[in-house]
Amino acid sequence: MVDLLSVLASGILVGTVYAYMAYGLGLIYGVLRVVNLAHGAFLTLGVYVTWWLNATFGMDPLVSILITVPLGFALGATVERTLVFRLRDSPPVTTLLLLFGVWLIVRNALYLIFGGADRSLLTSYSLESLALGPLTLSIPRLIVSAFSLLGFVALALMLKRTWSGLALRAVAQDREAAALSGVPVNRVWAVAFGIGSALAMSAGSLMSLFYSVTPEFGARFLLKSFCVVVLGGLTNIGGILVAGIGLGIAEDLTAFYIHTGYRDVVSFLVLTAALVMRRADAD
Amino acid sequence: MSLLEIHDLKVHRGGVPALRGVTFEVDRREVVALLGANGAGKTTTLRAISDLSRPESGEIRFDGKSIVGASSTRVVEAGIAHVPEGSRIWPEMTVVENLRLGAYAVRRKGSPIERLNAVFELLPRLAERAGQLAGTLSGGERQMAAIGRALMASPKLLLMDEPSLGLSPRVVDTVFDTIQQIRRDGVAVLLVEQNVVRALEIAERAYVLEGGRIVRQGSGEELLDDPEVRQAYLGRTAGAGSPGTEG
Ligand SMILES: Nc1ncnc2c1ncn2[C@@H]1O[C@H](COP(=O)(O)OP(=O)(O)O)[C@@H](O)[C@H]1O
Ligand SMILES: [Mg+2]
Repeated sequence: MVDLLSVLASGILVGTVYAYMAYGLGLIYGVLRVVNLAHGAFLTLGVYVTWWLNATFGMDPLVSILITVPLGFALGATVERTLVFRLRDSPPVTTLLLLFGVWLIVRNALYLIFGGADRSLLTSYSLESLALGPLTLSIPRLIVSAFSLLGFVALALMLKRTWSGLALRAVAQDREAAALSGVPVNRVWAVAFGIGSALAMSAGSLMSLFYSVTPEFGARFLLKSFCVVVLGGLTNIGGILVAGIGLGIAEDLTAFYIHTGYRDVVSFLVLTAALVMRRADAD
Repeated sequence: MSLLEIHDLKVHRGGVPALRGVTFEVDRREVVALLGANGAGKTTTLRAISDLSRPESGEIRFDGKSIVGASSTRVVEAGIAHVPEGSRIWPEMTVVENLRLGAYAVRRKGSPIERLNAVFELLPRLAERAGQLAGTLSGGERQMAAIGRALMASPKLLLMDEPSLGLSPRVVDTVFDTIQQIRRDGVAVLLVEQNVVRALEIAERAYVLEGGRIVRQGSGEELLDDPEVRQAYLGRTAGAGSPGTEG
């Protein structure tokens, strides 16, 4: 019983990070109707930047969020302005391939700079845990989960209360109507891509606290992000949070009761099932 | 100098000419009707003004300045708001969010709250529905929300694309009353309507489009009395309102 509770708690904590990690993918799709195959590149880059800042300056991963957020925004907005924007009128597969290309370039650049070795970082609190009655909760997971939730609250407020947030939602729902109200749609596209990438890169900062990283890191977590976004409903903040937590719990249950080796199979199975069910709904 | 002057406007849709040289104007504080059968080019004309469709050639002047090639954002900032065909409100935003965002172009000018109150006064139904998701509104309420949203931009000219389409006769009355009130508030209206009689009754002047060209123009009364116009449009649309009963 205590085992089960521990597994559930840890699944919930990891799940909130999954949701945070995935949200950018949904936001970019919702606003631009573009599947950001470079999402994994931004995640991986976020972990490496955080690792490097820690290795070089001893910077705490949580502090490095102050760097990965603006850096991710600038990189994402630049990719949109210089590359994605030029392909607006071409078939979607062109953009898909282009962003896949961006991912390959980033991945190979990382191999070139950092090599293929596993990189991980250790902080003073990395191995700490908190005893809560019979439960033992890992401190890094608690912190990362709290930051993810904070990020979600900030995003929700931004989307609800600011001009930029309203403009993002309007472009997602009806681009021409947004233009007719004076919303600069081109700029909103760049902002959406920037926010989506900033979320991915800062998720990398958070994840550096409990994952080691190689240049292949992004592939695994792109798949999980897809899974969360498809289940949660693209731009639906609440839905994505629930889907992320659901995936976190399902993975931890699988790892505990079946085998750790099957952890990463869960997202694949869930994604396949969700897509097949959608297909069946549509028929 | 008229408020809006359009000269020899040519626009393609899907590679095919949709406007083949359209010239007309709208004066300050005047309601001008733009009539014509389906596919005549009415929507294309409004889209070209708002930069949703780029013209091949021709001139569009607003307040004396050319706005050809100006972005949609610049057009709204200049003072032209557009109620698009089919209302096109944002369904997953509340009514009040729809209205607030309508003021995006003028967000740094004047008081948005004052404008919001003015819109609620003109369209009291929207105040009742303020917190509701716009996607849950009835057809008539959606149209009101789209009109209110456009007014939030404090326009000098309002483009309206078939605002009474598919509405019940009672709601159509409300829409036309609202247009009268908008005119009284000093806003010019370029009104595209399939409800020809109602449009000609309130319009100072009207133009008839056919195959992308203006084939007739005159005061509302002149066109109401024009035998050809009567035969082409009034046979079908005389009597109460339009088909469709959604309200
Ligand atoms: N999205 C589109 N793509 C291609 N052609 C279009 C499109 N919309 C309208 N057209 C064509 O442009 C012409 C003018 O259409 P439109 O301006 O919508 O007419 P109206 O509003 O008077 O019914 C028509 O011949 C129509 O078939
Ligand atoms: Mg039309």
